[in-house]
Amino acid sequence: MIRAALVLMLCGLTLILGLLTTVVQNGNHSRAAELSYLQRQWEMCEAANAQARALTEAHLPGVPNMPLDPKRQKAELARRKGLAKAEGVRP
Amino acid sequence: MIRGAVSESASGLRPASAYFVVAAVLSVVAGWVAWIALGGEPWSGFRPVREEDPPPEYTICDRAGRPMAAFVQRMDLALSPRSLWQAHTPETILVGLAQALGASTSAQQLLERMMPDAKNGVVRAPWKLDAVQARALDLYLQRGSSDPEATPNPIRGMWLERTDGKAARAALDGATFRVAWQPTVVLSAEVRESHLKRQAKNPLRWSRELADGIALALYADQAVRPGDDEKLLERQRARIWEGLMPTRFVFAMPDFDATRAPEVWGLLNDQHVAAHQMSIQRGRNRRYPLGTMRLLGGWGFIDRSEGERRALASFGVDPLVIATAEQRAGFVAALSTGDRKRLDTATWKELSEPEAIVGLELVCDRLLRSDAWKSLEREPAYYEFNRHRPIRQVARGQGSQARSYYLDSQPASDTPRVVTTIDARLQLEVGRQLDRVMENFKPALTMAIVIDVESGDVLAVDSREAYAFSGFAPATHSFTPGSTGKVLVMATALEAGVVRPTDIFDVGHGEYRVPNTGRVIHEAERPGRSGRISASECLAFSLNAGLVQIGLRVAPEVLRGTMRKLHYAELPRSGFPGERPGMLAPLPWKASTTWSSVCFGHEYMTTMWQHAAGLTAIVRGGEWKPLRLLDRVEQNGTVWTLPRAEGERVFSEATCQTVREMMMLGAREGTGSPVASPAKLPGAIVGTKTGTAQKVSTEICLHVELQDQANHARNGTTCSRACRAKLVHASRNHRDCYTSSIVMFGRLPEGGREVLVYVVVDDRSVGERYGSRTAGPAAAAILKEALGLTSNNEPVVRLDANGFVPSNLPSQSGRGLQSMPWVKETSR
Repeated sequence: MIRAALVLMLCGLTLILGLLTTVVQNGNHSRAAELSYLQRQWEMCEAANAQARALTEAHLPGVPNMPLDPKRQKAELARRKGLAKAEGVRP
Repeated sequence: MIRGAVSESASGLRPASAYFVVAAVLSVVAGWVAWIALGGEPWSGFRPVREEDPPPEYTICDRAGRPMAAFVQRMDLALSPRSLWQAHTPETILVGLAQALGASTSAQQLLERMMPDAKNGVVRAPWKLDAVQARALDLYLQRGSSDPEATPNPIRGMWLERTDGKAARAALDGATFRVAWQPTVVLSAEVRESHLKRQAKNPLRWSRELADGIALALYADQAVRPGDDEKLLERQRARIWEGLMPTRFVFAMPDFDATRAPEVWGLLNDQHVAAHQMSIQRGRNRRYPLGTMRLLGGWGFIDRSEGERRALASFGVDPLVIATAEQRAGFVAALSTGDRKRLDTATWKELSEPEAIVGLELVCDRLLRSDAWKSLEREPAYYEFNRHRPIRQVARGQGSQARSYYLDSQPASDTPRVVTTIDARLQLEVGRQLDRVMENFKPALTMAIVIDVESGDVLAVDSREAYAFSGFAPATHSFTPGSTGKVLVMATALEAGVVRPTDIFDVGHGEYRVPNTGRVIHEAERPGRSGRISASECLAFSLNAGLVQIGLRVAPEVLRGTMRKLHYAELPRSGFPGERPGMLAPLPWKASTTWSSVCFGHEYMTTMWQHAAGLTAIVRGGEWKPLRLLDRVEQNGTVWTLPRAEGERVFSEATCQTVREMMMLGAREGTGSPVASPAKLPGAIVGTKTGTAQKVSTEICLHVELQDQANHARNGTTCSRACRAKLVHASRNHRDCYTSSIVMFGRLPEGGREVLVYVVVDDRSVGERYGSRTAGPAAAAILKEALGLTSNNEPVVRLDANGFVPSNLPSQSGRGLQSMPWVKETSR
């Protein structure tokens, strides 16, 4: 009787332990995958924020912001010069 | 018997003991699981991947803390066309990406970038097929299957072409063929689903069937068939796709809008795009939010020769042994194969990382790399994760989709900020004025500097060059200062007590013969005064004859000594690479030559940095201070202010006050009056001194010199002594080569900072040559901006006594919108 009880208890414990391990491991994997996804998204938001922050902090009142990309900066400067010439406004 | 068999196992252990062993093992496992679950070291059955950014560099800010140069993250969409299009339907990816990227990029533009092998949507495989192969492949394409019994179902969008361009029906003798195909058609869902009986929605299965079918047609009996060795089959498929889609890697969207990245990332996840097929790669860009400036310089990559030199130096090789390129080549040739490989690796490492190479960037870089700043935090950001391919996905045929599991991450330490003394608004104005000078006078070079007189802080400094120019001109370009140098001579004479402002000198009428010598001195500018005039007028009207008479009263030793005290003829220690010390002739000086020439700013060379510091010392009241460009370093809220140098007294305050008054007379009535008279510059107390220095016959006109330098730089050569001699006699007429300049100081009557503006226009090609006409308008505009009389070159509206503003405000015109950058141009 005792032996049977012990066997049953051990079997039960084994099952519970196995289930718990699976649950914990599954939770870990899900959370780790979710965190990984969030981490990537965060990195991307960070990149966008860094660019926007650079522009915002560099803003001079009265002076339109320049694009960050040097090629677009050149184009923007040329556009402003053209506008200035056409309208008599300073670039 | 039965009981005995149960009570004792074959191993001899009694059952109870076995239960204890099992229980012990279970307890260990349970403990392990509990330990993992409750915060122990994470168990990892997979090798973690660590992505690490480069350590944070520094941000350069203006005096108000606005970033002028900073690293920002960039996002690149990188892909392997060969891998991606085997596993994904073009239409789904292209349309999804176009939506994710917003209106900036259409699906058609994306198609061109993501299928670089396709011309007008058609890819031509580089195979040359003979007639037999072509016939077999044509059969396969017509039938749509390798099975001869199958019902014909042609593969749309793939056909054969003759490589000689002749019509398909022309004579076939020796003709070769190639495969042409339209990936958007062949890989479309419609074509795929019409050919696949099973897994019709799986693009990878279709691309494999296609590759197998083509291989069977091309290789006939030698082809590996499905069901044969899996590895050989995979290799065969890879070979076929190598021909169908040759490009293995491409940056489809370099530096795309980062705000769109989360959507793109979402699409890649939704479509189960694997990292090796297409991914968003992170990088960094050095960006200049206020615009690129010569002052700031830039980051770049060193050349291979320099990289090799540094790599060798890092191995401890004596620098003298590898000083020249030839020596290095010899040294490398003697290395063993292993050493050469190590050297190659080290060299590539040197070449792969960008670094500050010129301008203020390099100044800041050198500052922060010095031992004093080693304590700054430079921890890079990192992200650690497990890349794992779950078994169940492989079983379901989704084997290419790997998942990432977060392990750990750390943000980068706060980026150090180097705060300069630069006033960004003023710096932009200086840039604009220099652009105008370049446009109006087409000089070889022009530069300007604005200095806070009291502190010696550089508020703005920049240059423009007509030719490729190495280094930052205000610190590296030496020139003859001309009449602005008269300020030093006058101050020295006053300090020595050899002249008083009211002393009268006979300056003749445009010509002056130096006593006891045969030398005749002419006036560079049209003399505004002639005959007998005071010492003050001599400076205000910039009369060579007057200043020579005054300067010759000062012993050459005293004159030269004073200039040395003002740090002429020594490196200005601005921090900019390649700075020059200028030149001051050694003693003795003869009245017929150097002595008298120095009196009107000739026969010595200076850089703008040196001369501006010297002139500022006089305007300041006689105390020389080095010009200051870097103010402080900040990190994590801690501020380290860089030390200010102690002033060195060179002149008395009384002397300097007298010189200031003479310069103010120059602005009111003298050579500076065309731009700085009270009518032209109302509301400010201003002093000026102009300079118009003609190049002497032994000097080279700057246009000629810079053009030659640019040519040599392009060809990798240098100008020899003979080459320079040739340049002196080059075609341009020396009589028309001038260095025009103006120094202007000013302040508001009600107080505030006093600033000094110095503008140099070297070798203008068109327009007037006089300093007041070429450099003057730019200097006046800069001074007005510096004193707050204008803002962005628009007059600043001042409140009246009642606190009201006039009704004709500029903000009521369309221009006022400039102060609202969020308003689009179209709304103007």
